[in-house]
Amino acid sequence: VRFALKFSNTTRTLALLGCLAPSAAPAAGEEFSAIVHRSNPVENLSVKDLRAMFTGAISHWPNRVKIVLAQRESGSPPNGFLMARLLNTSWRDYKRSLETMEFEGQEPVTFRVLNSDLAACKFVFNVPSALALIATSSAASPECRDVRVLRIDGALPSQEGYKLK
Amino acid sequence: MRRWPLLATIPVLGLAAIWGSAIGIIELRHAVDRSQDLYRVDTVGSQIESDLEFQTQESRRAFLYALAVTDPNQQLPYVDAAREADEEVRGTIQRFRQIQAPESVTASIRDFEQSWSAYVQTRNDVVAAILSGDSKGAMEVDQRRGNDTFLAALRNLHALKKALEDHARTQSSRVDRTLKECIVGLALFVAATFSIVSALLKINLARAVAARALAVTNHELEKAQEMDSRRVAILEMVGTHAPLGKALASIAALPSWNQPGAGAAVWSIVENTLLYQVSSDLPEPLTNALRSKSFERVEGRLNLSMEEERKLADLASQANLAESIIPLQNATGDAIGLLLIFCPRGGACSSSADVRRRVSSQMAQLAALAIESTLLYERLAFQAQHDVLTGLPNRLLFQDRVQQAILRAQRSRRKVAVLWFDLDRFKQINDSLGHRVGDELLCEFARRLKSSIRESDTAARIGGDEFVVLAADLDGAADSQVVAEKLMKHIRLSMAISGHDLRISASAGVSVYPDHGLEPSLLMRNADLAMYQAKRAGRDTFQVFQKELSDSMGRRLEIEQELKGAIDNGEFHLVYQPLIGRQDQLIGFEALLRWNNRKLGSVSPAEFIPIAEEAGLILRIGEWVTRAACNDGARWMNGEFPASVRDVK
Repeated sequence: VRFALKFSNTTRTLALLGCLAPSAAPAAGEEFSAIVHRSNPVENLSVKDLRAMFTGAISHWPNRVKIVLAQRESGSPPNGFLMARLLNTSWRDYKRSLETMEFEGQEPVTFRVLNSDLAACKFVFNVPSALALIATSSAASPECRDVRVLRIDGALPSQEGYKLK
Repeated sequence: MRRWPLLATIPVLGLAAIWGSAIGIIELRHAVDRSQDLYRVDTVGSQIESDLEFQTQESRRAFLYALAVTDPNQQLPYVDAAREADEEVRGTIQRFRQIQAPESVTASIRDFEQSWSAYVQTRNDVVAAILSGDSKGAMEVDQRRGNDTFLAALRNLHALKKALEDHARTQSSRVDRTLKECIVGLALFVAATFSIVSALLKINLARAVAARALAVTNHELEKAQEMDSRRVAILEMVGTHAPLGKALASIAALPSWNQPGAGAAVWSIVENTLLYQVSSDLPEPLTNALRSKSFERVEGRLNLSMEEERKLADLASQANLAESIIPLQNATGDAIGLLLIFCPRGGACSSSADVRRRVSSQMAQLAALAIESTLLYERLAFQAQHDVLTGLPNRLLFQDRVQQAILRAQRSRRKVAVLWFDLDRFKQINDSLGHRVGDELLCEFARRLKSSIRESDTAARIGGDEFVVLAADLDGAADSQVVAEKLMKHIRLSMAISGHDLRISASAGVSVYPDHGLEPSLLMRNADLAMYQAKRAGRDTFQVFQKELSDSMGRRLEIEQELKGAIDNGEFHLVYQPLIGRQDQLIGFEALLRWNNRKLGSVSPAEFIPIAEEAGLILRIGEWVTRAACNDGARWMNGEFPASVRDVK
């Protein structure tokens, strides 16, 4: 993945929030998938890039399209995994950091909270610039067949070395 | 019925029917195709168009609902609904394409699809903006592009609807026009077919009538042929002189052959004897009544009496028969019989009145012919065996009667006498008083002979004034003399003929079987010889044949017989005896008659001249001698002397 990581204050703030305890812990061994629109040219992301996108450090896709984040609601496993394992923060702090970034005049992170993985899939299907994190078990459902699962550090879910679990 | 005009119209009507049916079928096919097209394109197309309109509205409405909320979790169902509606729109468009609409319609659907795709593209952008939370931007995009593209799609949809309506209108008018042409064609087909069927029915009817008429004609022809064959058979009977009763029976059977239950009765008068024949098919009471009928002659016609006719009519009526009485007449109009024909009432003696009349007429003709032929045949037979003048049997019949009498006499050992009469000096009476008186004299003589003999005996005339009598079943030869004496006595009585009181006598000869011969011809010859003997004995007497007289009389009779043809046969010739005067000069010739007969040879004048005198031939011979001597004398006067005379000279 070739794009420039933009470290901003928000990113740093989120890094500071990494010590915060996660709001919900995913089940042990559960995998999660990062999904994008089929038209999205990106096929592989590193865990680092993924984290940067969710924290707002990377706000645009390589094609200059602004990233729209589709977040699961607080308390859901994908949200718990994202907060606890990937961003190392809590949902409240995460939202606060995003509000702070916007308050400080930075380009706001667009994110939408969806109540289910299936809704997240539909959302990604309808929004070409969307990025969502869902349980890998949900990615096989019919509603998610029209979105694409990204490789993470070169590995797809269930493959050896896959890190979103 | 003349069928050719009908037959001539059938091909024309057939062509009209074919043309009408072809037009009707073609136009009907067109109408069906256009109706199918009308249904497929317009009915189905309108339904699809309606679906499209609903689906586009649904899609738009769902999209607008998505715009109305801010929570993406609530927006997504509307977005899904909009997308589903969009998919249905696309499916409906594909469905529309399958109806194979005309170009005017497919152009509209193509325009709609393009405009709808443009709308969907815009809508997707708006959806993405909505879901991304950029409601303001989404509204702006929708206002700027989405609404217009949607309205454009709707306009195209309405254009599609209008195109469908135009197409439906056009197709409907075409279908109407095609159906009218189809109806005209089919009507022509039906009319022509009806006319053909009607013509064929008429022809078949005429053919059936003709066939029935032909069958009737054939039946009548067969009847006529059968009638002809029966008629020929009856004519053969008549021609072969079959018994009249047999011919009349066949004639009487003709009606029953023609129609069972019919019958006939035929009466005929032959020799004043009434014969009848009744058809066996008639009821027994009627048959019995017919056999017991008596007839009367009225004005020369044979008729039933009024009473008999009424009774007969009653019996026929009881038997449910109609009767027809036909008098039978010969060619001269004389009544010769009566024909009664009976036919069952309510029917006819034949299948048609013509045949019935023909049968009746032919029956009458046949019956009259049979009866008249029988009468004629019997008359001819009578004439062949009888003398025309006196009505007595002639030589032929007499010989037959003698033969029959001889046969009977052989069985009964009795005698038969033949008496030969010759009128004395009949030639003088004939010459002096005329042939008519002579004929009347012969007839009277015949009547006297016939009235003087027994019924079983026979009197016959065998020559000009020669009569013979057969007296059969005699006990002895002497009885023949008794018969002869009796007859001579009756003959001698005077006769008043044509105002002349004539007294005539006859010479007779008698021969007796078996004393004087065993054959009829010998008996007659010997009777003739005996008659000549009686003539020589002075006439007006009879002589019984004597054997010793046989030879001389036989020679005399033979000479007389040959003399009758001697002049015509040139058997006489003259020889001349010169007459020498005292001065030894020739003074003349004496003509001497000589007769050289081919059978008897040279017969002496001393023998044949007395016979010629007795037979009355001498005058003709004398005339011939005079003529011949004069002719010879004339030739001699001209110097044509024969050699012998010249020598004498």
